[in-house]
Amino acid sequence: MSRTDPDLIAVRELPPGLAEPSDEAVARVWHKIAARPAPRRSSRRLWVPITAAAAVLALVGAGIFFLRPRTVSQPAFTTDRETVTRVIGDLRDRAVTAEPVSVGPGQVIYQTIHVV
Amino acid sequence: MRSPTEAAAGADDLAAMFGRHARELLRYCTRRVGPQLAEDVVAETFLVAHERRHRFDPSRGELLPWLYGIATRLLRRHVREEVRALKQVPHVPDAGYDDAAAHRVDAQRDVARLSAVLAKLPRRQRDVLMLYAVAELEYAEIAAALEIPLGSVQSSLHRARAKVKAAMSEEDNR
Repeated sequence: MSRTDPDLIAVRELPPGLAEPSDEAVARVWHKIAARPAPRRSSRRLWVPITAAAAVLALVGAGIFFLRPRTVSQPAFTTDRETVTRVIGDLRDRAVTAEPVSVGPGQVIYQTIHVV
Repeated sequence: MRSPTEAAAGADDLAAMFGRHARELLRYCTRRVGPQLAEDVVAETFLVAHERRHRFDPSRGELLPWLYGIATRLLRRHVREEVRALKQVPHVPDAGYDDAAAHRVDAQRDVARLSAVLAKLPRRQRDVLMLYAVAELEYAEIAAALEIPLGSVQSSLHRARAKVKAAMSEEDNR
């Protein structure tokens, strides 16, 4: 393959009659470069991914917070001797002052026990 | 051939880079989009090259093919203008009465037919053909400039040249 093949020459010479770039044309290009401010890295380019990342993080954080597995609270049992003694004493005092229930003939007492 | 260090230093120095390669790039761009647009494209090519000078890898090739790659990518923004210019070759009337006029008309027809073929080429085939025929880059340089595999360069060039040759042989058979 040669660069002097007719097809390549025909392509190279298209459009016909086109002059080589003049010194003036080259100078004009240089002036265009000099006239333009140096391209600066746009801060927008940086802020867009940062904002997007922050939004995603916020969404993930909110999701984790609201959808986190919750534990069912259990009653706290105490083994503190003093507290147990006090509570039993309170119950006993209340039982002493409570009105006794009188059961008539033919009446029954129906009692439910709730185990917590 | 310049050393990679020299080539890298060249990318840093905008004025030196411009002095060495501006005319060649301007010739290439002018052939593709005409003189006015070519000046804008070449100016932008050097500005982009200077901005991205740290991306230039001298171990992968010379500075000029890299610049041709930038220019070719920028030219893609002007495909419409390029194709329009190729299609704007005026309609050629039937040959006149004398041989000179007939020869002139034939030549204009050849140009019109070739322009039509180039206008119809897929973008990559046109880029590869122009880089090979006008910029006179080697296969590997075109591959580096367009960031495509060497095999793609060869197949694109083969297909593009086959179409151009077919158009030219059609001309010869008339």
